[in-house]
Amino acid sequence: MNSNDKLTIGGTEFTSRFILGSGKYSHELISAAIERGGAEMITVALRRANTSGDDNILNHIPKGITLLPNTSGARDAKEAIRIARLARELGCGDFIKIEVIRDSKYLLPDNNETIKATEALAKEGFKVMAYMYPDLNVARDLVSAGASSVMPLAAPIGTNMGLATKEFIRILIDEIDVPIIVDAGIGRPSEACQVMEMGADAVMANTAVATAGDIPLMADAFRQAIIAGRQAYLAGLGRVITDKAAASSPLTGFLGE
Amino acid sequence: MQTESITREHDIWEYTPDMDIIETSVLDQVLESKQAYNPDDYTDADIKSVLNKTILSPNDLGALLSPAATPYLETLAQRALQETKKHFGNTRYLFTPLYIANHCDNSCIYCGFNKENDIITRAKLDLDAVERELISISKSGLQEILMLTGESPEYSPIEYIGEAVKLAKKHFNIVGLEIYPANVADYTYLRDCGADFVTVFQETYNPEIYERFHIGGKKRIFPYRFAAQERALKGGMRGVAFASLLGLDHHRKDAYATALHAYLLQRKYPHAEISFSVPRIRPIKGSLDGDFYEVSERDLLQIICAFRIFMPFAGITISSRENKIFRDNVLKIAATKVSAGVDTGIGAHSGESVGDEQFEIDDNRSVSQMKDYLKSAGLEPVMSDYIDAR
Amino acid sequence: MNITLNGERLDIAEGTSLESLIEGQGFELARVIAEVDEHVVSKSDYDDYILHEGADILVLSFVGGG
Repeated sequence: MNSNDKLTIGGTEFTSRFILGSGKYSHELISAAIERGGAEMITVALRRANTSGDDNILNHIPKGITLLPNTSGARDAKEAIRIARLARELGCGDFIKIEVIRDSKYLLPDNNETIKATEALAKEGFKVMAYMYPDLNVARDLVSAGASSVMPLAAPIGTNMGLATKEFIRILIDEIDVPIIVDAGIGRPSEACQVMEMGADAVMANTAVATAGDIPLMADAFRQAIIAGRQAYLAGLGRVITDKAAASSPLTGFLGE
Repeated sequence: MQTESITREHDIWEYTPDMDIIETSVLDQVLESKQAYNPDDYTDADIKSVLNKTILSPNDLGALLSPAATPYLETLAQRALQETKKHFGNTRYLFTPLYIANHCDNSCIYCGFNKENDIITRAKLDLDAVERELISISKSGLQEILMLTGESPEYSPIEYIGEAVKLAKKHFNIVGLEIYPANVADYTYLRDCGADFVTVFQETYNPEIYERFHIGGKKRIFPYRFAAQERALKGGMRGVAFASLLGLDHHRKDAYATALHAYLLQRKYPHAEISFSVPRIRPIKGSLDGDFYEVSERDLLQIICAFRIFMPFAGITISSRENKIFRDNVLKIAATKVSAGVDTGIGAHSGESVGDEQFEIDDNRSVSQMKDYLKSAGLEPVMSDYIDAR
Repeated sequence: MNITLNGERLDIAEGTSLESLIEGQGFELARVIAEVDEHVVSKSDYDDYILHEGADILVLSFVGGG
């Protein structure tokens, strides 16, 4: 891994391009997953606390790992803004992942509400990472609204369906200047590798790790796949064209000489 | 400030008081990149690598314009053809330029309209004459007109141009303008009169050479001319066209800067429709002395293919300054818009010729002859695919 | 006096501060954040914030999430 190839989001540098989700598996495995995955950023959600003695998740996240609270539960911009402010009060930093979902069947994000929430929260100094359905116009609006990063989904959350929106992610990678972090739907390390090869800045995965047979081992597989994909991208993909001669009916024959 | 007072002593970076000044990030980037661009830096391996990509970066454009890509011209042409097919199909647009005035306050060494040229006859059509020309041209079935004036706000003020645009919109679906660089409010006014597109030739993106060739008149001010397309877009124009006069500076470098200029503006104003022209310096009547780089047809074709591959969705216009064979072939590969029925003299179309032309034309096929050619080449001549819904 | 905490009715003494409520209920103060009547209360104010009759309090903490 090239330590000069840093990922910068909202002014913070990361060496790892793997963002881990902490949902759907036990707290005890979280620190192993973080360690084996080499993740430097992990998402968490905000929910009602209880006093039943359940061990708080923060006890399992090593110091130095950047917390990325998400606004899951928010169905509109107003709710997302409220959750973000609460999350920040917990004193774990300014990063916030905006997730506004008002469709409980596919869990697809509401792009318009996400733009509104981004604008409000960016003004309040949050480092906004906006989870969205890959639409170039929306991505541009998110950047104008102050997003530090745009997180297009690869496929609906939890489906492990792979890169259903691949070509649209490619467009965002080409046109948008803030980091593009592919989130949701990636089911295999090979898909994470592929999206990094295309030029994505980072990958986020949760369900794929959480539902694996061996969670720390799968986190490690993702780590390696993401490094491999990034390296391939930096190296420049191989050549297919091997000679200068062209098709049988030349278009340039008219130039003569 | 009177334009007579802008002489070769005037600093090319100094705006006159009446000029809009907008922020210069695009200008800075283009000049910096052009400065850093060295066509000789690219290798055979670079070309192969670029041709494998679908989405090209400016650096890749640099590779396609370089001498290392010249041996691959046939491959470039095949790729360009693929891109043209994907984005334009077999459609080729027809238009004609209409010069309504040839008065000019500038002294551009290479141009037949320059202020010092006493040999040519100056003229300006009054609005009735403009309308006669428009009516005559529209009989050919054309729906797109490009109206040109020399660069003289005194003889061709914005209001005059605006009235001409209104007349043009009565007879044509699409009205393009190739006039002197104007302020944002002027472009808004012209847009409201019905203009759709603005074309400005930067001539060269090399400030030293620009200074040498533009020795008088407001055109001397480099950054104001450079920002014309951006001001036009801010004024609400639907699209803009870019060009260098190839041969003033080394054509590979100016071609690079031209496409980079368009690329950066497209990213800044994503709705804008972009197109390119590719004029080469050609023989003219009464031009002042100047020395130029030679641009061969092979060079020109390489530039056209590189533009097509780099920005596949941008239009490329091939003018009647090029000969018939070149035009015919380039239309099959990458050019998407072509002029027909051209006469660059003032009043020429309605038979009331009153003023001399800017340059000699090499291909003077009529609209129906051009349509016949296109059909014979398996291409589809289109007059207009646009409705102005305003 | 009556208040609501995470949806449940509670009877607490008048003059109770937010901080003493949280600790008294068994929450780990460093790991939670509270909202009173849909307003975020800044952590530094918890000890000064005296609860009123009918206050609707949400106590939240981070949990696993994607």
